[in-house]
Amino acid sequence: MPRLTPMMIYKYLPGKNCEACGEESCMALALKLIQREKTPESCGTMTDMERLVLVDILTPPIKEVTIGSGASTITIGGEEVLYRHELKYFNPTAIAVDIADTMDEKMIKERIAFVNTFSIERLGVMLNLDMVAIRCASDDPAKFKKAIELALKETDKPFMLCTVDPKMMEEGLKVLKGKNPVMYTATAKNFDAFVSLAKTYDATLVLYSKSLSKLGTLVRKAEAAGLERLVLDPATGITGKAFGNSINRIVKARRAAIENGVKELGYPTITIPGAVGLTEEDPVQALFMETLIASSHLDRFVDMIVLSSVEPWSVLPLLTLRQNIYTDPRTEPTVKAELYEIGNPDEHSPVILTVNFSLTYFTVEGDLRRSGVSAWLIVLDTNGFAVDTAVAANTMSADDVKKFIDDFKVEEKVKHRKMLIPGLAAQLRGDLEDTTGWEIFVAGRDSSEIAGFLKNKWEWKDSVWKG
Amino acid sequence: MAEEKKKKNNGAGTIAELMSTVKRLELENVSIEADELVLELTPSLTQVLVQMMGGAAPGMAAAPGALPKKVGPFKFEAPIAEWKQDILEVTLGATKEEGGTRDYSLVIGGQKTMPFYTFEANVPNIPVFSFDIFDMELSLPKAVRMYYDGVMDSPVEWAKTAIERYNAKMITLHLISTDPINGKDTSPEDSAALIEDMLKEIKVPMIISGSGNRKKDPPVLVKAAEAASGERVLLSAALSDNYETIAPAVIEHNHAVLALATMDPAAQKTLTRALVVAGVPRNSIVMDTFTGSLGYGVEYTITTMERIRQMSFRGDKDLNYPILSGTSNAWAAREAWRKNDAWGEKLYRGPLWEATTGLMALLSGSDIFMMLHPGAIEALQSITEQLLIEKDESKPMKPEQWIKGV
Repeated sequence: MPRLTPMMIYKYLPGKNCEACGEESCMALALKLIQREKTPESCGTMTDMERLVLVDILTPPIKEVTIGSGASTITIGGEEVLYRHELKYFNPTAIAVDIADTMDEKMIKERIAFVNTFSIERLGVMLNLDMVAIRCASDDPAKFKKAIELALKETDKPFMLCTVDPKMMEEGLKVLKGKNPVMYTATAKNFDAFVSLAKTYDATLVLYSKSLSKLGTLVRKAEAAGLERLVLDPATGITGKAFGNSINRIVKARRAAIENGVKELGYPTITIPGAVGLTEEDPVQALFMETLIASSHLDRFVDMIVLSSVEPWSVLPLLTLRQNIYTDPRTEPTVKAELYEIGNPDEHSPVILTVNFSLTYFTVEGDLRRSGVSAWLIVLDTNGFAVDTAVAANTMSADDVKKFIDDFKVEEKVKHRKMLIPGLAAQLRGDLEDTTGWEIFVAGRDSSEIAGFLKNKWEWKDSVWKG
Repeated sequence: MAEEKKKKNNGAGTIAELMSTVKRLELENVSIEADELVLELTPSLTQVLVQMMGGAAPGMAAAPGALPKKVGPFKFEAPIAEWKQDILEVTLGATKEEGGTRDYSLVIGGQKTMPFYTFEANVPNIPVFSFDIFDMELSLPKAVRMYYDGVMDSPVEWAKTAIERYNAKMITLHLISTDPINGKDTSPEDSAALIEDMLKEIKVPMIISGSGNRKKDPPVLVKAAEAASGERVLLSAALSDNYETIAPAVIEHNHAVLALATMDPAAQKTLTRALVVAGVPRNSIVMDTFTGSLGYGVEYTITTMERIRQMSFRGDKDLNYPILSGTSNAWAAREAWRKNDAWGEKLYRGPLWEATTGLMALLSGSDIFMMLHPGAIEALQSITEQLLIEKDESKPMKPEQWIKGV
């Protein structure tokens, strides 16, 4: 359930509805505060003390933690809900790729180059990897230091340093002074030394334990020592019962923090799906499972994951999934309403009508592209409604279509006057013909039937399938 | 929020200065009730307030910066939710004793809590993976075709290959040839003949699916129900505008039916209620909330399933049915099949795309899956089994193991 309601926040606001914050009422501001679209600083009418109290109440149950420094700083955590429909997930999972200090220079450079450059544009956003995790596999401080220095030359992305040996860790921290790396990891054994290093070098500290009680105890001690930037590793399970148990530890810790207010577990979590290679020898099988384990962790709101993969086929699904999961479920998912060119349309290519609900758009666009169709796609602004909803809500009227044809000069782009409309909008056919003067066809129930329709009925096949 | 936090600290400084002159905190001036403070203020803020008043919070040193040397151990108690009802169980496939000819039947549903929250309740039935086969050859991606070389022109051989070579426990026969435009307009009678043949040749429980044509599906599914009488197949799918034709055949021939409403819990409720009013027993309904592919709406699928599951556990009687995921929709995504060097090897990428899509449905509440790629099914089945293992020797990873690669 949502943690806060507008009413709970309202009682801490002045209640004068002065509108100085730009909202119509204090209740409207309360709603914006909960949705994190405004901060308590928006209200100038409150006293500092009142604001302090409000800030405290609004602080999310999972603390925000920053990693790295300068322009490449990443923020993780800051979450308020278990299920995205209850509000939204705020800070996307940081994805790191691991590097061992035993790898040769060429390999290290290649892996860092992948982290730097692998990038996919989806829905107008560039999707990238976030961090490098350097493991001290050599047990040799000189090698560890050398690998970090090399990496530092090659990338601006934040670092995670991986060793449980305080001496090795300090070697690394010296190189990364002022860069706020993540220290992986403090355990019950090295705890005091790691806490002291985290304070000295002002770094972010991971606490590891497979027991949530022990993990909470480590948090208490770290907080008492004055550390604020903590990340929790509830021990990654890769196979068998350990896999399910580790997912459930993540869920239990998050539920306790969010629903029961257990502050000790109110920090971001980290897991290491990249450890799959330790038990699976076949490299393809290992990466396949690594991606699925990482996907399950993305679904279970893990805030930071470390991969071994530098293969696009396994990283692409993860970056895509992360974008999907962290999409704001409160905003209407729409695409720009305009005339889209599918393939390479000409004056005899079909004109097809659809709506600006992004899921509908991408489905139609996908169907057309997959069938190799060239066409003009009218993407009508229906307030982001799907076709059936838009017809019922009258956001897809014949007048709207007529206006679109005029605005985008469709009659100058094609010589014919024939339009395909969605099956769910079949009832608009008569209206559309009267209003636009075009001949209207219903291609089928959905866009998967358009290609079949064109194959059978379209006069100018060469303008649909071009070579 | 990081910025807010900074401001909060600055704010505390300002107030501390203020308080040093006032020397005590006037709660009335904060315009909140004292008991609310006790209830809602965090220990950290309470500490700040108490320090400003010149006192010390329990267990805390009064002087700022002087931190306690010892803190008590933390005891974790697993947060257990209390739910009002379970998901209904639906049996698919009828054995000889049950009036059919299947070698075994499969039970789906019965879940008592959110997916795989095994710390809260046991999982009574393991999710089922059904292999897609089609009644006519169609252009499938190479990654899939290579598994069914030479059998795709015969649905029976195709199904046998899935069962014998890839260990399929359930088969979905998609009657896509019945579609008048994109198929061959195969008659309901001809499809019924194929179904009878199929039921003789293979003995696993089956899903029988129409082509998705709203007008053609009802007569096809009615004939299919007749042809498979007593076998307890899952008929796919009943929609808001054709369920009235399909429901009587489901009831008469003792099958189960799939109720399809696209990512809309309200429409889903209306449809399942209509099926019940039409006389379909509640233990014969499965819901398809529509599975969007990874990259093309999988987040709506996750959210729809999670919402429906929560509504069910809280007592909604129109939604506590098992959920089916049409995971093969993943192949609609170009990322699953298109050659593109920047995306890496498509023969791996395709099945991974399908498996990832299915995994999201699995973790959001799906009880039964229609899937295409044998490798994707195997991976997902393996993950499902691991999530439900009672006891084994596996251990969580120790940091040293991964760091040193041993």
